[in-house]
Amino acid sequence: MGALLEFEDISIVYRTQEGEVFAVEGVKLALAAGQALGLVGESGCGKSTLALAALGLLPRSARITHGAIRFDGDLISGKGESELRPLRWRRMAYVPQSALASLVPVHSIRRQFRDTAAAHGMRATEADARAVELLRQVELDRAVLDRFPHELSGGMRQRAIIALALLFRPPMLVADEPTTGLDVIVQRQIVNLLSDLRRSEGLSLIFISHDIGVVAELCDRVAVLYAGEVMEEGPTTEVLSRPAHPYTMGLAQSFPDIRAPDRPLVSIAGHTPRLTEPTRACPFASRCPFVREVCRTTKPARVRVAQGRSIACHFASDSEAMREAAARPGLWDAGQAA
Amino acid sequence: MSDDPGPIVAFRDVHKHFTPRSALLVGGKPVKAVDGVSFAIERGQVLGIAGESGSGKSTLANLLVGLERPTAGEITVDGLVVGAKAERRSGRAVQMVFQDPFASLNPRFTIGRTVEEPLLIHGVGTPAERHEAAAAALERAELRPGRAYLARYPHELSGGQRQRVAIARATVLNPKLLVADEPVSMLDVSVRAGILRLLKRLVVEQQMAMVFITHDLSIVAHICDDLAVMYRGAIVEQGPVRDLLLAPAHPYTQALIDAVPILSPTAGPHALPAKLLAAAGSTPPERGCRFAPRCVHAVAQCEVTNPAPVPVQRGHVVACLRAAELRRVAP
Repeated sequence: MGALLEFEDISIVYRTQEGEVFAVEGVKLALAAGQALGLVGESGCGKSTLALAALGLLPRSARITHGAIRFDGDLISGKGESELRPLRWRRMAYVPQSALASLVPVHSIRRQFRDTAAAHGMRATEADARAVELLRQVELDRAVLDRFPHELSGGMRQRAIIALALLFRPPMLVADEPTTGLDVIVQRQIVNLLSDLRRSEGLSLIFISHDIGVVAELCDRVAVLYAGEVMEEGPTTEVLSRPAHPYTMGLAQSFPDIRAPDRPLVSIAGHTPRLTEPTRACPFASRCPFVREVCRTTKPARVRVAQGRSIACHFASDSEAMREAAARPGLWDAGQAA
Repeated sequence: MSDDPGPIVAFRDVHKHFTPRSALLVGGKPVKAVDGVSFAIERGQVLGIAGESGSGKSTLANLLVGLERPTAGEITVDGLVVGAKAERRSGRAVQMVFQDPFASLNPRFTIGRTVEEPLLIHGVGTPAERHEAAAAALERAELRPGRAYLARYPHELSGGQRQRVAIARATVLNPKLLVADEPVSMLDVSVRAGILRLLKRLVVEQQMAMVFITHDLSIVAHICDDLAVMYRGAIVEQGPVRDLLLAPAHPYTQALIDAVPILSPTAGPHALPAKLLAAAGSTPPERGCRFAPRCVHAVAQCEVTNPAPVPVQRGHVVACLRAAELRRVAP
């Protein structure tokens, strides 16, 4: 099975007033058709930049300095707007974080469907019929068609956005924190909806979240990003239950489990490095409890640790011992304020 | 009065109703944002208030800090009635920590100026004393050495450090009550535990009480002693946090817990009962249990009787007619 979406050693730099920001550095990832790949990590890890790059929606201040992005075998990095436009909505669609801003506030939902349809060559009658069908699929009443975004609750709005994204039956959705800010019951409804769509439509999904619990439920594979680089990648259940990279170990332990209220939570001392200059060190070195001299001078290559699983760590062969040590919460809090 | 061993914060049958300005909205009926809420918090204790948007938890916070006045009932902090004109001191006694440490700090103020602000407002100390107090508050918030932070600006700090500055500002006056409104939900997951531990430590050391408002039930065990779950203005279940999480009795608490994603799902996504979702935005019923329209366990009696809170175990009360039979058994 060939990859639907491929990031081939991609690096992305933003030009800002304070100089360059190296947001994504040498990312290699692939999404197979029909799969869901979760991109997890904290603020500034590059996950949203990767999503925008996949859609060809990077802002003008961003530049792909290295590597290539392929969709369905076609090179899409470096393509101009006129070549990308036919791909968007029809071949790949975007579901942003639930916000009023992602729908036109002064247009009814019907109008949003019609305008999107018209912009990409679908007739209004077909758009109307498709809208009714899609609203049923996302469990919204068809009366929603004549409502305006502000008249809908956050959860209804997000389902309307997902329905709109599916207008042209794209094989791939890119969803960037689509449940963040929603109440937990509404979040559950959106997660279940995306999960149903994956099964019924065979949708491929790039799912971006800081919430590894949602990713655990929705994605076959997960890539853990830190400071613009992939730290660990592999099947979600294995990566999260038996992390091999120290950062994944810390992240998994800092995430609460409602079923285990007595399990201590850790916080990882220190904070993410500023990305204003390229580094030759491992990006996690300054916060890693297992750091050694080589980590501060040499960036580790991503190496295979098991079938379909890789980590970027000099001490990949020690991950068993590190995982044992990492279970001790005291290891992570050096008493230093982050 | 500080030797009084009783609760430091008390809510006594507090109501807050808002009358819509336009009679067209909600049929002109008052919205009962807080509808008969009672609780008490002892020194050194943290009460979690959990609920979805529209549950009334933000109105409750506004009532605690005196931004809103109750329509009925009484709120006291350290024996002083909150919001009463004669008792200005209550303003000092209650401080707040907000959700967004990027929005809650003035970007043009130094950290020193930010933390000194409450002292200036209440006319406390000389400039030198205020400096000293600000540096000490920063140290207590684990920003060490505190003096080194005084001249810095918010943009030089990480999100977690900024929230520590906000906590230093909120505690510099030694308040009796800290109201924390989703204080970690905007922070990176890897620094949340440190902020929760800091808040808990300060509550114990400074013998304050804390109200911790959240929509995220997965973190409450790591900070709260007791938990109150609010639904449409009322507390539907309240008790020791572990009891509520491991043996919830109210169907709404159970739904909130079941909806939380878990790290090691053994089965597919947990399906939600259609009834729970269908009636989510509807107007609350005139009589009977407020949760009945969304409750899969509702029986005919629930449509007519508004359940009073009853204990299912010591300190664990539930407002549900079927609480005893529906209560889960702790694993």
